[in-house]
Amino acid sequence: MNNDSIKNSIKTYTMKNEKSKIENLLQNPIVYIPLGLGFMVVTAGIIAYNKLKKQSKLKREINNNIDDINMNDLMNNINKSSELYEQLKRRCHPDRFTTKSDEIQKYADEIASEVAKNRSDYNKLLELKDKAERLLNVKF
Amino acid sequence: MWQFLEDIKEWFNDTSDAFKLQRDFNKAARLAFVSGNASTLIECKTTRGDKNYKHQFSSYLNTGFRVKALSGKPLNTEDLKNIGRIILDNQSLVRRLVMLGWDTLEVHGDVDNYGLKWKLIDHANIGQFIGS
Repeated sequence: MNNDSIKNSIKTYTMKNEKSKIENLLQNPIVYIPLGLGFMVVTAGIIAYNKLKKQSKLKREINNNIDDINMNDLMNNINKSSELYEQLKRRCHPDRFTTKSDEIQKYADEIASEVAKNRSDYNKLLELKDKAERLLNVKF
Repeated sequence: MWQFLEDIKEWFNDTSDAFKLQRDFNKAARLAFVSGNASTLIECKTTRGDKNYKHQFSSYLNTGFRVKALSGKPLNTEDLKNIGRIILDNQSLVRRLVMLGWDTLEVHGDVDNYGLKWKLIDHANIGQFIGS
């Protein structure tokens, strides 16, 4: 009888001791640092993933509408369009054709407005140069 | 999970596209200079960009697309403006730049620190483009 009571008291003590260890562990603030960091990493990952998903949907929509870019044309635009634009602007100015027929004045107006619209598009300016040579009889 | 892997793959594709665009631009600029079509050699590179110009597609880092003109002389404002305007007039290029994460276009000469910059998203007309 005496031995049994001693055994029971030992068990109770051990359980109490284990519980107190877990409680102590949870009360220690250092334990929450890795937990908090883990939570933050997971949250940031979810936010970044959702943003990426939303972006890629919009990107796909835009990408479907974009033509291929010709870099050589772009370089021509950068290097040659200004000079040609200035030439066309001077030579095809509607004021130079006031003494000509109505038809030629109309063409001059059209070409001048097209030149102003496409001032940085070298290929379009070349087309307009040809048109001016044909219709307005301008020599460059 | 599969979608997640697809998105990761797409991110790598975008990065690869951005490098390809820069490489093509620099290659075409060198070719134009060597063949005598261009009096000014230009090159592009990625810079930090302007944080005030951020948009939805902006990358986390390095959002500036800088075009540097190597002319051997200081370029005046008109020259810089002209280069910037021609790039901004090219809608396809501007939209591609926006899509690949750039938000600032910078144009610089090679001699001093003077340069011009534009907010790319203002010149992209993306809403209009999707609507059409």
